[in-house]
Amino acid sequence: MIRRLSLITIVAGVLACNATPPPKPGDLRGMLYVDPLAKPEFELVSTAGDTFSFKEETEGFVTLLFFGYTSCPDICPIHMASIASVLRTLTPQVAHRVKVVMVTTDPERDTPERFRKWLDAFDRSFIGLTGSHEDVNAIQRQLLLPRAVTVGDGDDYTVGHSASVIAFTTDNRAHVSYGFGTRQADWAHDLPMLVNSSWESLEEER
Amino acid sequence: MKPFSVSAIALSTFAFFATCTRSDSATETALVSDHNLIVSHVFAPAPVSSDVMSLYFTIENTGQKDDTLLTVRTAIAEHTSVHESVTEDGMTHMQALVSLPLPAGQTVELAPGGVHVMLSDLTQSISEGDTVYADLVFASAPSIALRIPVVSYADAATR
Repeated sequence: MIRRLSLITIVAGVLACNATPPPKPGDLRGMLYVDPLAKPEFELVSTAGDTFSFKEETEGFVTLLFFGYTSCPDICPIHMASIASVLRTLTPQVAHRVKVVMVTTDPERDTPERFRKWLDAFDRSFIGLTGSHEDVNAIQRQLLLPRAVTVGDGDDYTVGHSASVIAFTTDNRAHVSYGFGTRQADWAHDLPMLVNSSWESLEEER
Repeated sequence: MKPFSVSAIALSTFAFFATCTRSDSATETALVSDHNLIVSHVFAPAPVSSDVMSLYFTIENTGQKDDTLLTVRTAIAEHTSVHESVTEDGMTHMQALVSLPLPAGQTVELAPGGVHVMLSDLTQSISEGDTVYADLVFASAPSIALRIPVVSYADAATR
């Protein structure tokens, strides 16, 4: 009887503390980094022509960082469309805590106007950043991504780049990335978890 | 016997297309040629920038002989090419394919993140909800005319 009461007390206590079950890192559908990446401190230029200090401007937000280009007909627009589509389905409390930042790997063709127009087709809040190849390569290197490579001649060249979206959480680290093939259901599942729980609390619950 | 066979083929062909016309989604429509190539799941996301778009479809070669997709012809683009998105060492790049093999008895799927037909230097403005047209040209089989529904990228991502 005492044992049963104790059990009930424990269960009641847990229910009182956590009305909804807490998420666990193992529940995340992205790919976990064994060694989390530090959020890089870099400055690039926004589509409005302003200097954008990545770490400062994304402080306190879940930040999805992607490297791509607007002449990409496959991977880049699919990723952007999926994320934008899901953000529209999330509550404002979650959606407004997410920043999406795309750095162009094709600064020659991706003028600020063109880049802005392309991003606006998905979501007007998406941030587009431009810099020199050297600067962008350095950031990719820091994030353990291969540097972008141009293939082909003339105006019809394509650009090889990483297909991963890196997710930085509010602890200014990236614990998880999302490769191509991440479905909208996966984003819808993970983004609220990344927003609502600090990574420390997720780790404690592991 | 011969007239019967022809009638049977005509009937089955009619039945096939009759089935297709009942389909709610144009992307479910399959076109068949007399060389056993069946094309289905045809769609193209509306271009975001005005110069490139992708075309996706599935080809099933139900015949006994291999065939090859040689090229795609369309009035809506100056250039067409078959590309494959390939990921190596974390780097995804598009690799142009000279042609696309269609082995006998196999199904080749062109889908986001894999093989796609890239239409570049578009000659007209194309929006979601439009219908565009292209011809698939094969080494052996006669060309197949595609009627392509233009969808959004968000929609394409869920296919």
